[in-house]
Amino acid sequence: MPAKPNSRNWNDVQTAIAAVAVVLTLGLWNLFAQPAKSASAQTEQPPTPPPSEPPAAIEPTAIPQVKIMFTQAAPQTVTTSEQQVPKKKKNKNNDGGGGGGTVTQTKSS
Amino acid sequence: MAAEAVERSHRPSHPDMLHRLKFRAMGCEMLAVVDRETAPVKLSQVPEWFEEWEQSLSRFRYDSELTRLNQTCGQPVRVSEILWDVFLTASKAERMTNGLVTPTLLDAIIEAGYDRPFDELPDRLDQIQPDPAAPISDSVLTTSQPLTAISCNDSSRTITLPIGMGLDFGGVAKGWAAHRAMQRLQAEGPALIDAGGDIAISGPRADGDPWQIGIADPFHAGENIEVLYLNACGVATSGKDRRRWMHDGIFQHHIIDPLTGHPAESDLLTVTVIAPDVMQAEAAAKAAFILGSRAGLEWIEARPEFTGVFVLDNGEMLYSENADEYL
Repeated sequence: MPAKPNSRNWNDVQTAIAAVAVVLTLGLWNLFAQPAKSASAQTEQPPTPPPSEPPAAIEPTAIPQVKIMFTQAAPQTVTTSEQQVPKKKKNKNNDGGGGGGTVTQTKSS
Repeated sequence: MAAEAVERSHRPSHPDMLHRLKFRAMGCEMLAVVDRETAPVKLSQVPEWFEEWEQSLSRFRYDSELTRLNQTCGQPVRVSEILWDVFLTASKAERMTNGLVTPTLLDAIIEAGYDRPFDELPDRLDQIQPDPAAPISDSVLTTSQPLTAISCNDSSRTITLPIGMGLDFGGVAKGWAAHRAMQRLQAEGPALIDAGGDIAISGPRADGDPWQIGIADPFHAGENIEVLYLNACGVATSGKDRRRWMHDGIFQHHIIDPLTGHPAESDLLTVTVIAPDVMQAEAAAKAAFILGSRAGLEWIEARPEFTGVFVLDNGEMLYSENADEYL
C-alpha cells in the first residue's frame, strides 16, 4: 500500500503544469493581443485632419476671396504709433539707393 | 560750429510721431499716415471711406454702381456724387493727356485678359523681373471712343453711355480716392495717403521737413532706386513691372494704348511723376509711359508743374530738368 504518495505527486505536477500553461497563455495573450486591440481601435476612429492643418486649407477658397473684395477694410487694419527713424538729410549727391528714413514707396500700381 | 551746437541743444525734444494705418482696398495695400503726437481720431475711419468709394467705383463688383452703369448702355442713369466726381476727374485726365488716358477702354483691358481682380488672374507674373525680349501682343489699330461720346448732364448728374461702351476708372479712381482721403485727414495734422503707390501728401511734416518717399527699384523688390523729398503734392508711378500676366501665351500688362487697343509697347519700365495732386500725377505717369522715353520726357518737360523720373527697360534712368528740386 505504498503507491498513494507517488500518484498524489503526479497530480501535483499536472496541476502545476496546467497552472503554468494558463499563466503563459494569458501572458502571451496580453503581449500580442493588446496592440492588435489598439490598432483596431485606431482604425475605428473617424478620420480627422491633423491638428496642425489650418481649417481654412480644407475650405473652398473662392467664396472667402470674393468676400475679401467686398470687405477688405475690416480685419487687417493695424494702427501703430512709432518714433520715426532719424531722417536722412537731403543730399543732391545721394546714391539713390538709400532711403532709411522713407515713409513709404511709390511703385507701379 | 559752437552756435550750431547750442541751437541743437535747445531744439524741442518731442519725438516725431507717425500714426500709420495699413489696410487693403481696391486690390492694393493702402497706407494712411498722420504726423502728430496724439492719436488722430479720423485715421480709423479711412478704410470705411475707401470701402464706400470702392462699392461705387469698382468694375469687379457685380453690384457696384459702376457695374450697373455699364449694364445700362443707351439709357440715362443718375449717378452718385462719388461716381460723378470721378467721371469729371477722368474727363480732365483725358483732356490733359490728349486722350492717352481714358476710362473708355474697358473692352480692351478685358480682351487682354484682365477680366477679374488681379490677385485672381491665373497667369499673373508676380515677380518683377522684366524681360524686354518678351513678346507683346500684336498691335491692331483700333479706335477707342472718347469720353465726349458720352452724353452727360451736369444739373441732373446723369450719364448716358453709348451702346457698346463700358467705363473702367482704374488708376483714376485710386488717385481720386487717395486725394479725397488726404483732404479729409489733413484736419488731423500733416497727412499722407498711399493708395498702392499713388501717394497724396497734404503738406510738410509737423516739424516743417519734407516727407521722404522712395521710388521702388523695379529690378530689386523692396529697394529704392531714388528718394524724393516732398511737401504738398501727389506722386504716382506707372509701369509694366507689376500687374503683368500671360494671356494666350502673350505677355500683357494693364496700361492700354488707346491707339492700338492693346498693352502699350513702351521702352519704359516705370515712370514716376510728381504733380500738384496725385490725380494729375497718375494720369501724367501713364501718358508718359505710353509715349515712351523720348516723347514722354518731352511731354513732361513741356509742363513745368510736372517732374518725371523714368526707368527704361535696360535699367537706364532719365530725369526731367526740374527733378533736382525733389532729390
